[in-house]
Amino acid sequence: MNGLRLFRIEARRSVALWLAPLVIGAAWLLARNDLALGVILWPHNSVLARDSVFFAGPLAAGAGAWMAGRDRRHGMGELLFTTPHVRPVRDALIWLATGLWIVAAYLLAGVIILGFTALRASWGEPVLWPLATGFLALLTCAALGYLLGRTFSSRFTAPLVAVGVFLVQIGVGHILLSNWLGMPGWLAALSPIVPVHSSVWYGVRPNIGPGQSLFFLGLTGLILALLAAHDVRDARGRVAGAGAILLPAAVMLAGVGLLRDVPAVSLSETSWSPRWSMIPYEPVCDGEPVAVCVHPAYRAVLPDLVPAVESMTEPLAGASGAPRRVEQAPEMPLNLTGPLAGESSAPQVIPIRISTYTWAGFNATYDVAAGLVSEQPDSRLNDAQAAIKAWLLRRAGVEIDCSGRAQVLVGRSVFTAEQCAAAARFAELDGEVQRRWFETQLPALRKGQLGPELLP
Amino acid sequence: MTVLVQLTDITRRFGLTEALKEVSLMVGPGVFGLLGPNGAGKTTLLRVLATVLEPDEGRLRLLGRDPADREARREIRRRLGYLPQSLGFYPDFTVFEFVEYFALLKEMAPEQVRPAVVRAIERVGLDDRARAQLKTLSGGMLRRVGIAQAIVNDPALLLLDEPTAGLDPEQRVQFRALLREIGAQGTVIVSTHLVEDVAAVCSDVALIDRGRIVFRGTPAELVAHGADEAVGDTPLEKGYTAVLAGVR
Repeated sequence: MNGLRLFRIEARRSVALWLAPLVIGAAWLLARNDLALGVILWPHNSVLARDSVFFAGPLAAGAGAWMAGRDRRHGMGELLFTTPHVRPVRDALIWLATGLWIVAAYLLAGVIILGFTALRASWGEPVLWPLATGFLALLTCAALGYLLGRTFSSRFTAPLVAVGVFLVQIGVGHILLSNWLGMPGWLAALSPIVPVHSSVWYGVRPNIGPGQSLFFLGLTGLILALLAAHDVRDARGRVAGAGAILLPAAVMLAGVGLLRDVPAVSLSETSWSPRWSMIPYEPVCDGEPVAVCVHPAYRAVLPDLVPAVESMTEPLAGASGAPRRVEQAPEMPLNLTGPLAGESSAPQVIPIRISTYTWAGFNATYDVAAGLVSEQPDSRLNDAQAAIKAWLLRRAGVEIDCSGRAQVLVGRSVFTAEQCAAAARFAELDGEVQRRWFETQLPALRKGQLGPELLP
Repeated sequence: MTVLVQLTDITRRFGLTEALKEVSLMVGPGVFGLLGPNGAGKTTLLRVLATVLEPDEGRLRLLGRDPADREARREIRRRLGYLPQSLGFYPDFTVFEFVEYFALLKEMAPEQVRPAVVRAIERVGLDDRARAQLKTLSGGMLRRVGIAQAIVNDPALLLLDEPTAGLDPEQRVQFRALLREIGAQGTVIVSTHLVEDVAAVCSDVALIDRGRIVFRGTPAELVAHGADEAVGDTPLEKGYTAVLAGVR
């Protein structure tokens, strides 16, 4: 009862209360661009909800250090020493009261992000382990800050601890992944903000939730045990303290052990892992005569994508060998694609990629144009194929670059002047002429057997 | 007489300096004054009694218990009130929160906390400022907050180091009345260099100089030591200076 009332006073007067709006603001800044995207995906936003730890962790650590130094800063040590309270209990209460506000702000920001996602996502469900590990990581940060604040009591401890935690979590989570220091990549999983892969095809991978949770839980327990040991002077207390340290240390090591199993689906591995089982789904389709099918989570792109695709497929309708279906291919790390969920009888099905970061049809339009003119759209197109592709893209309202100079941003949209000229000549033909040409030449064009001299 | 504080040959050193030298003292209920010049060892003695410092030598019993024993020390602290010479405070706490905080730390029974806090704040005359944050209070008011936290648990042993510093004359008169009231129920040890405080409220007094008790008796007995040629404006001051002159 007294503990609760002490907690209430500590919570009301904690510096963390003033930092809570900062945590929410930082979370919003981090998430606002992604929340404005046309396609809202549960796995991506589940990780997004976790990522406010990026700022909240250092703030929690700084607040912990500040609160730990409060007694010495205000000359309260002697008076407090003459009361019978149990110091570790009071430490734990102050730590909890500090962590409470940061964690509450973090969870509130997470609920806002996930709530927004719930309103707009068309498929799937939240993945909660990233949010949960972030929650535990914040309590760890507050405890770590508190321990450092008690050990090094100075006005500068709190800001130094905050900056230190900020750098460490970035260093561990990002630099180790790039293998600069020759350290094993799994160590990066000790950071609460380590990048993880997320998509609707395989969820959030690798699942480091259990390992991270145990690690942060054990580390928090270890820090609290060290805090309790701070004031132990008698032998009996030291023995009890050693015992109290062993248990959380074991939990922490168990977490590290689980994270060491991660290399099979390593964090730093950027290619598809066979361990990442695909999440089954039924594509949603729209459009005639060529069906445009996407993952149900991408349903929102259909109203824009279908007209663009129809404008390109309309002249080819009825031609022998013309594709019958356009289907979104599963996205894998390193821009790779996985097997199609629906009918995959290539070359009559064109796989497309849909980026959530640009206009939804950006990648898809290029993929459709390439798939219409080639049975192997990922391979290099010949001049005839490129010219027809340029013509198709113009029909879809896409600006093309005829400079012939490859540019990173526009990628496959670059054509030579000759290809653009051939596309312009083809565009001047009557629609019926174009249709008859496709009826006779499309199979050869798609096989790459037509030279530019055979274009009308 | 019930002996609540018993010191036997207590010595406390800070490095090579002996702040207390074989101090022996027995104190019972009432208000006990601890007088002495600056640096005499009054604060050190009070800190030993408050269980802040452990004596290097000698035996100490407080409220019938040995504070060297952990459980006994906790029990002593539950029944202890202490106002240090320099009182720290949490500036953002309100008066009520600060006093309640210490009531809780002193492990008072939960149902007693709130009425005890209200009463302590009333006794120091701060009931109209109970919701004010400490950073908004004057030095004298802060001193009264310090006294409130010290008395909130109705201590059996109340230790006050320079309690009237910063109080205006009217507040000092009120405070002396409060001391008499508390002294009627337990033991109050007041360390001060203001002899008029001692004269007004103390039933018993000790004079400490260079770490040793050089006088122990009633204020009247201390006055009796004063001769006409002794330095001082009041009889007690003359007694005080005469005793010190005698031992130096």
